[in-house]
Amino acid sequence: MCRLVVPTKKLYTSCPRAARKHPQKSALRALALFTLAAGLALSPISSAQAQFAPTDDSVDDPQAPVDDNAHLDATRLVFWLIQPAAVSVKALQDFHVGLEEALAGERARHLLGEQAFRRHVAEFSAPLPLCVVGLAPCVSPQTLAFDTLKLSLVIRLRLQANTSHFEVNYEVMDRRGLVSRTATNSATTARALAFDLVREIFDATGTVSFDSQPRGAVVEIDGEPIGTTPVSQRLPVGNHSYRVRIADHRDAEGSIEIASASSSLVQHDLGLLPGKLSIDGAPEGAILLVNGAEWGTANALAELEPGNYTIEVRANGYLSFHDNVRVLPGQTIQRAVLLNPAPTLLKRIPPEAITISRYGARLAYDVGFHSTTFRNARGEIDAQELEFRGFTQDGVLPTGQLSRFVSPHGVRAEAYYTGENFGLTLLSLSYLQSSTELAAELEVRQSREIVPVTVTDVRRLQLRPFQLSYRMFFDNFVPVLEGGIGIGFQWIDVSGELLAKPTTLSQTEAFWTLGLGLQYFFTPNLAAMVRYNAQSYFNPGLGVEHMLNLGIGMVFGNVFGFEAEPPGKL
Amino acid sequence: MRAPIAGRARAFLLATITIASLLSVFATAALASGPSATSALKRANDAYNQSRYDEARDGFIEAIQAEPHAPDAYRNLARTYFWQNDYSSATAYYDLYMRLAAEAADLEQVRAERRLAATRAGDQIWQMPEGQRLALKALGDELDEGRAYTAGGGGAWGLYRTLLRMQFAQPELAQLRRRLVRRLLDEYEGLMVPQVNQLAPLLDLEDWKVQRERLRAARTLTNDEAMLDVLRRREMIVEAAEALLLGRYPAAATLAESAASENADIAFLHWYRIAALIYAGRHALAMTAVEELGRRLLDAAPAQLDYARIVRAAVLQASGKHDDAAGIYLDLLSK
Repeated sequence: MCRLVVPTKKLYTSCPRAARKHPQKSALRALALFTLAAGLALSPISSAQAQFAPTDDSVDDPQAPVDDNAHLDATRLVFWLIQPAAVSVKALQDFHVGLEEALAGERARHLLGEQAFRRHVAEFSAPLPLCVVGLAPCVSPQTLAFDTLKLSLVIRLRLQANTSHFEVNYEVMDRRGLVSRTATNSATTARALAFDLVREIFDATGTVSFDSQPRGAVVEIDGEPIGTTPVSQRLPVGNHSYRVRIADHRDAEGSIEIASASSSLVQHDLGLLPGKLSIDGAPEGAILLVNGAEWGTANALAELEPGNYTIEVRANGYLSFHDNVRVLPGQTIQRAVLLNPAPTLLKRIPPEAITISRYGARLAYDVGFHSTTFRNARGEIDAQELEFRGFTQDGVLPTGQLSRFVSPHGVRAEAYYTGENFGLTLLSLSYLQSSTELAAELEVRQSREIVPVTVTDVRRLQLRPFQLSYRMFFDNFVPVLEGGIGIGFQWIDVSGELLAKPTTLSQTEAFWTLGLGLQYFFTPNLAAMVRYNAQSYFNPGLGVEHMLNLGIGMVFGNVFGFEAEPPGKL
Repeated sequence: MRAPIAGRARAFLLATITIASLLSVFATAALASGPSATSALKRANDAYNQSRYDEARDGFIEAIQAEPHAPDAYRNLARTYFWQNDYSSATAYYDLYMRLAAEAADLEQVRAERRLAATRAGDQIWQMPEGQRLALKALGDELDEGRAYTAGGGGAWGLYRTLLRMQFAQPELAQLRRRLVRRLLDEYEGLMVPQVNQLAPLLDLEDWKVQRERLRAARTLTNDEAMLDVLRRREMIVEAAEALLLGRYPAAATLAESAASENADIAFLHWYRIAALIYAGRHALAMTAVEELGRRLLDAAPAQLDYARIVRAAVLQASGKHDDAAGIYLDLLSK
């Protein structure tokens, strides 16, 4: 029953890669083989069933050292399939004897003729090929027959006698099932023919053994698979190409010159294939660092030897991404990276993050540019009504209205509600002031007296309720167009020698306003704005006031709590 | 000489792939749901009504994972997030509810709730948690180019389980499941195809164990009756293989025979049955089975006839009929 152990050897030899990479898997495979063999051996008809247990003792333990003389075992059995044609029994006997004598120096065992072959078949029982149950790859049926019968060579020959000599046509078939040599020989006696034949055939072949680290690699000779390492093969003399391959390892290729009756050993250490690392999602220009050293651009496939690595992906404007990866031979490892932008006020903000807030307030600095007349501004001093007549030039009131330029500046406060694009300014309030020194004339309403004065100060309070606005989004940039009406309150301080004391004139005027601004959102709630407004007064004498506005504002969510809350109970 | 063999192998492969594709059609309509979703939803509703919002959240997530297309759990999860002051998540799940239940009667109420949640969220925009995002990406990649299932529950299946553990609860789960079922079956079927010039797929006991796990994983993702029937029949193959490799030969022979009758496209089951019969010592039955297989191979796969002859020779040798066995070998070596 020691045979129970043997199948595991066969198993390992068939699947050494699995055994090496997955100890547990190999154990399961061994268990499968063991149970197969145990089932055979322990069944009631053990003598018959045990014959099916794999008994190929040419298969070694993978852990065992390479046997340099393995090729000698591989030549152990040669089958001479002799087909006589019109040959006397005496000549056939001579041929047999000749072969036996010629082969006496050969190390292999020879089966001469069909009877010897039949006796050989009766000596043992063949194992069921494991490829039937998918535990080993199937070789060709001929190779399987060679292996089952432990043959290394089959020589098929047809012997015939002619009038003056004997002739033999022969074919040499190797383990691959391929006929490697076909020839015709002749001699005057059957015995001489046998000697010639042995010399020719055994000088025309050599043996090559293959081994590899790791074992279990498939060996192909001249494109035909012959088995897995370690394996031996008798080949016809000449040059043969070979390839040794196993999963996850580099292939070994080469050619070997087989000399007459030679034996050679080919060994290869098959290194592991490199693995590949693919980085997904890295921004353009990102670089990859492997174990702290720069490797290349992150978006290119990195080829790395199998092992564990620490990787880092760097890109300008982003926080670095760190990770550990395990690179497996022959496999591509993918890593998705998300590089978070480095903290900055200039990061991109999606519009939906902005539009979710509907209420806003803004504080701004206003500068006005206004060429105006102050016409209709009125005041009172000591019960005398005063009215602004106009600006003077060189002490003279010119014909027609003379406009003077004023540039009041101050603050603006705004509150608004906005939808995604359209909005409504609930209130916009500006207070502006400017000191001037402009010569003008006033008229005393009651006496029609003209009083020269100097305008020393202008103050304005402007209200712009219910302006409509429309905005668009270009990432953080939000251009705004707005328009509406407003009302301005203006106070003008005047003084003059003929006035008893400095006094203030005032006037109230309505205006149309149209504005174009550009907002930039630093965060979804914080924005800066630069804006131009044109304010055209209904009173044509006041002209158009141009305003530049630079402000900063906040937007808020639903601060009033009008919306419905979810129910407390479902 | 090899072209016809390769051609047949290709035809067989195409047939198998076609079957796998047909199976995947069943998978598209099939998603596991039912009692687990209902009970999770009920438990979560109870927890919500008692203001146990952490528990309610987990329950609603579980309900969504069990039935990703049922909208109610999304709305209730949104409300749970609202009371947990997680307004950005609430907003996101209100949106999912409105997408799935575009005709719902309570849409106006939900819209109002959503507005409030959104305004309270302010500048906090819901983003998928980083872990979920990476797991989702990895799962997508694995489904596109990787493995559906690897030993130990890895591959796309493992990533899918990870995604669920990370409390991923999105309608996208339904599509991911359909893809995963399709990939699991494709992967299973792909391993059922012997390579060219091979009698059976190269699978050992552990491989078969993984095949069984693949089918089990697919079963948890579907409740379609036709699909479940396919999975049951495919499991018969695994049972036959495991019985054979574990040395339960009489059972293996029976199982292989039943599996072959239920899975006409899996030709290697006949080889399994013969092997089981030989190992069980039933040589007469084995010989009959080999002859029957030989007749089948004449049309289906003549390239395998010589293997049948070698197996026949082995049975003859085991039966003591060495001369007959030698005749078969001589015939092979004379070719």
